[in-house]
Amino acid sequence: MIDLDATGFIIAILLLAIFHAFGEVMYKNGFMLFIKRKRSEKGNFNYFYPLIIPILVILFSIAISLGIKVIYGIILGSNELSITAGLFLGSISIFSVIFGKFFFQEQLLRSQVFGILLIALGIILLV
Amino acid sequence: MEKDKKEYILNFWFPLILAILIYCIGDVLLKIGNAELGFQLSGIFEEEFWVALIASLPIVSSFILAMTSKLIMGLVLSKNPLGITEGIFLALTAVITFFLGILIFGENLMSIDLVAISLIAIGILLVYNFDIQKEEIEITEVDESI
Repeated sequence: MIDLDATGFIIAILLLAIFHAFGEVMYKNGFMLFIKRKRSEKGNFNYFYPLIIPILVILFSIAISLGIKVIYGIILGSNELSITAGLFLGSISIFSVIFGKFFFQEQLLRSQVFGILLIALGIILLV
Repeated sequence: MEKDKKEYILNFWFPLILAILIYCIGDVLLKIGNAELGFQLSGIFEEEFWVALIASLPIVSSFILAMTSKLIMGLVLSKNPLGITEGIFLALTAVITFFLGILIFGENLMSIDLVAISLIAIGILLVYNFDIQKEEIEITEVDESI
């Protein structure tokens, strides 16, 4: 029987946010792959094969979103909406920026680091 | 000028607010449905949970609303910068669900929670602010090359 205390609640939401951000990375990566192949094949572009991968990635991303929603819903059912949603959405924005830097080598500015710190502080105050 | 403003409202603010409201209503329904079912996390390993989940109207509606919101967001993102669109979406959704929780479910409103949700909303906007600057630079570079 998995029963969540306060620490378990925070860890569960953070894990869900990580998976959600990872789903977004896959979504973006699928489209980038499609564009890259389209450019490399130039005139002889075969739409069938390159389209399969993005569609599969999108479907997998939607499946991840729905799976996350099921678990998020269970946590939401026994916790306050105001706190859970704030924690979940704030964590998503942090992890999507971190993953953007890690997977796509995106630049991380001081204002973004400050934003992450503000979100982290908000999450600490909220829970 | 007036026409541009109207188009901006129609192409950006109207679908964005619609997507936010749909997502928030979905979250409220998700909470109502799961509170009715009353399962714990271990429930996902039980067949009974999945049957109840599929039969639950609020939960199924919340999934449909979440997908609808994602679809509308996709349309907004196709015409507008990612940074500002995603930033406003997440920040406003966090704030609106916070107040919906208090209004609909009678959750406790403490001043520290208000400060916390404001910090999260400002933080989200700051985190996504970079993309606006980057896209503005890219647009300027393209214009110069023309």
